[in-house]
Amino acid sequence: MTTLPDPAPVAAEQPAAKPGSESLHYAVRNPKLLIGLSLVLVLLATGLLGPLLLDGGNPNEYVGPQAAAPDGTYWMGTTTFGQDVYAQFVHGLRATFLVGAVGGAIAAVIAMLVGFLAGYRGGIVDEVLNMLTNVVLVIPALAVLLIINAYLGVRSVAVQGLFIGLTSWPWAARAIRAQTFSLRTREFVDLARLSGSGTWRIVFREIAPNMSSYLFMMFILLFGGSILIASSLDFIGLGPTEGVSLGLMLQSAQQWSALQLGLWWWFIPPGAGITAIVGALYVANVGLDEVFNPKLRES
Amino acid sequence: MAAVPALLGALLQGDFGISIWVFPTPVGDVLLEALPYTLGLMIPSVLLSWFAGNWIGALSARRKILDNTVLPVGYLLTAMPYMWIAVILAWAFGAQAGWFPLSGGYSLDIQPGWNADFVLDALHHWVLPFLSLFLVALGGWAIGMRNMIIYELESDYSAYLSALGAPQRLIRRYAFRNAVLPQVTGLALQLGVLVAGALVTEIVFAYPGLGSLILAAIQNQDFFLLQGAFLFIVIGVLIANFLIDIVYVVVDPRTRTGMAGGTS
Amino acid sequence: MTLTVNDLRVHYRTLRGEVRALDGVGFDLADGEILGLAGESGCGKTTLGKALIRLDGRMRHAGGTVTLDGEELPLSDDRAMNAYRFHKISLVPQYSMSALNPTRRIGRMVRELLASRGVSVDTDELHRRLALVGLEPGVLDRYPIELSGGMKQRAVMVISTLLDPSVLIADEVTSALDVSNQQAVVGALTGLRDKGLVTSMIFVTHDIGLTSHIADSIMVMYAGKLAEKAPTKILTTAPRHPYTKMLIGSLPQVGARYADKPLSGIAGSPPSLLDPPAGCRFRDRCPLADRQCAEEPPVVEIAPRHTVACWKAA
Repeated sequence: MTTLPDPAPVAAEQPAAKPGSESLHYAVRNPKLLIGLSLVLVLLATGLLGPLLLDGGNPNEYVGPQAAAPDGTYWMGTTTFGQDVYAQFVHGLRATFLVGAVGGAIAAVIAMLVGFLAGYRGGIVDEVLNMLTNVVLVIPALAVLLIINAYLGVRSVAVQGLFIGLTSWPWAARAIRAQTFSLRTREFVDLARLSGSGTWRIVFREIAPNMSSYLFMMFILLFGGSILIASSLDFIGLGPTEGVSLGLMLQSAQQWSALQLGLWWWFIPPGAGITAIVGALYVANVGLDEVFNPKLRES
Repeated sequence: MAAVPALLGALLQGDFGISIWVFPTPVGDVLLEALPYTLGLMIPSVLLSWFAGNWIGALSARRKILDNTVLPVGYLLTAMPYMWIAVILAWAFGAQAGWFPLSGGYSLDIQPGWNADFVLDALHHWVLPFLSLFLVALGGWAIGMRNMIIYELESDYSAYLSALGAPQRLIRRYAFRNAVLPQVTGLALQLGVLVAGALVTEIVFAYPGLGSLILAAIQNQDFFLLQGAFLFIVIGVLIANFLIDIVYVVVDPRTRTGMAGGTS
Repeated sequence: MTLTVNDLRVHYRTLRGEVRALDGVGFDLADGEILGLAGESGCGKTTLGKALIRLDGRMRHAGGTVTLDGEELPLSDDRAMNAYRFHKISLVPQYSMSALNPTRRIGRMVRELLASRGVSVDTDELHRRLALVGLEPGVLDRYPIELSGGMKQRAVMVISTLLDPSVLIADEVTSALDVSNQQAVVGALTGLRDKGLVTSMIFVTHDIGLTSHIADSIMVMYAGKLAEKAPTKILTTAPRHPYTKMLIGSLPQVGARYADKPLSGIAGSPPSLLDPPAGCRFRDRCPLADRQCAEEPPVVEIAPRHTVACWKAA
């Protein structure tokens, strides 16, 4: 083997793009993400600004002619009591977004706590948490919420969101646990452990950031799911007793025979609103998956 | 508190108490009368939507044109609240077109019993509620299966078989069999959602199942009936979970040698 | 000659343009020869291995020919290539550990694979081949998850060579293994060639040290092109291309201490293959480069079966 003189200095390489900016580059070019996100934002804006642009006051007030079809004044017509469906709709959007956010956030937090702990610690901790997860998983959420709401009587949307969050986290906890399992055997985690970091420090500094896109997508699904569950609860009559939500509108319409009376403007908008929000969230989620997952991109 | 053991004892013997709303009928009887209607809606819709959804999802993973239709439709369907699609169907095919009745499990002028008139009439009332449950669930299964199949087709074992020149039908067969497994697990996970869907659909159609009972119980503050319904549902879901677990063991060949590894 | 590759070009389609992963490579593979294919990541060796058996969705056969046993391979025609796959040319993939269907017993998968290709193999023959690599017949009744990584690797080797292919491509088969498993696999591969079950072999690797034990010749690639190809002994002791010299020089030597003989890497990195520079691609990192290297050096046979692409070596 001959020894060689030091090689000539190398030409400067191109600087590597930061990972964040690369995601952004793909994000703004992904039609699913853009369309989904835009739709959600439009509806959110409607929900936030709509009520402000109205005359104010209670959307459940009887303001107009009874059971009137949509026209210039009442864009979505009125109910059998003369309530402005449009006013109810924009107020309802607010409540719907709120319950989605609260329920989704709480479920996400619980799922992360359970999932990270079970996935990282393993052993007996994992067994116990698994059992807990399975129990909460198998019991149908709606049945539990039925009983809770019937006995306790829910007043506010936020409390409804709380209970929904407490019952809808298991599938997410499982998924997070599985991901944590695969991440915890990686070298950077070993390094952190060797340097004496505690469990939660490692989880939040090493593991979670590497799963951040996954966690975000999970939150979106929990958000959408929370909205659907809440609207079902409202529909059965276990919704908040004050205010209005899209589910409550549907319940009202059902109760006062909107279907039989042909008042389509009463039951179509609220359901369409829910479908639009949840559908847009799902589609945006698929788009996000493509952005974060290079393998899916070039198809 | 002293009453609790007595209550539990009674429950275990099938005594759910006396209904307030339909006093003095025992809750158990009320529930049992409604149960066949709920099962009659749920079982066919769950099974058919699962099979059909898996089949459609598998097909759409192969053909791009089909995929471009199935995906958006699937997402739309699965995002719809069950009660809304029920109302839409009732309005479109019931009120507007007049093809199907809007409410009830059967017409009030026909004598219930196992005669052709009643059965046909009951079926007539069954179609729309069934359809709304079927369609929403279908969307979810189709999308799930399509994603699973794509995942399997991109796996290493598929790539290896292709490298060795195996025909597409063998690769697809393996991919399908492997993709079905998580769908079975998914069915168990979705049971809660499917039950909720059935309940609200029944309410829309005033279908005489557990859903309408629960509504009545809430409106009439009949807590015994509500508790009873809750227990019925929980037990039903537990049984269904158990059955699905058995099916999974049968379908996943590795479980019989104790090799399934991580559980669902 | 079992295999003759002539000016083969394979490009990858990407969002930013076409990456010229394989940009004009030519070599021969003699009957019974094991060729080690070495080089840095991105030099094109994996692309070459893939191209010979199956182009994936993004790859495009952009030029050149491959002749196997006298017949030209229809690389771009996926269906036509099927006749050759498994029969004449086969692959032991890099992902052998996960190459077996997890929900099928191995024996059943093999039977179904063979049936789907319209061939059958005698069970005794199958058992004999398994024994060759040190696996017992019971392996066929197991699921992949019941086997260790090394066992799966060897099982895949048996499956891939069941139909006695003319050329076997072994793609980084030892990368994921520990040293003792590596020896076992290398021994098994050599055994397959020695017994004539496989006529010739291309052993793709980034580990020149290991390759020198198994390969008859070694071909070093750089940036999509051939740098040097020579019989193993010559390449490892008297390489002529500066890149090969630096590669060999950067290998740790047993017994040498860092204080006496520090490990030297090769500074810099290969050029982008989206828009490769003109002239010799190693120019920027080569200590011997000068103005002449602005023109691309031709591949020259400087000695029997020793080819180099370098102005300084000819």
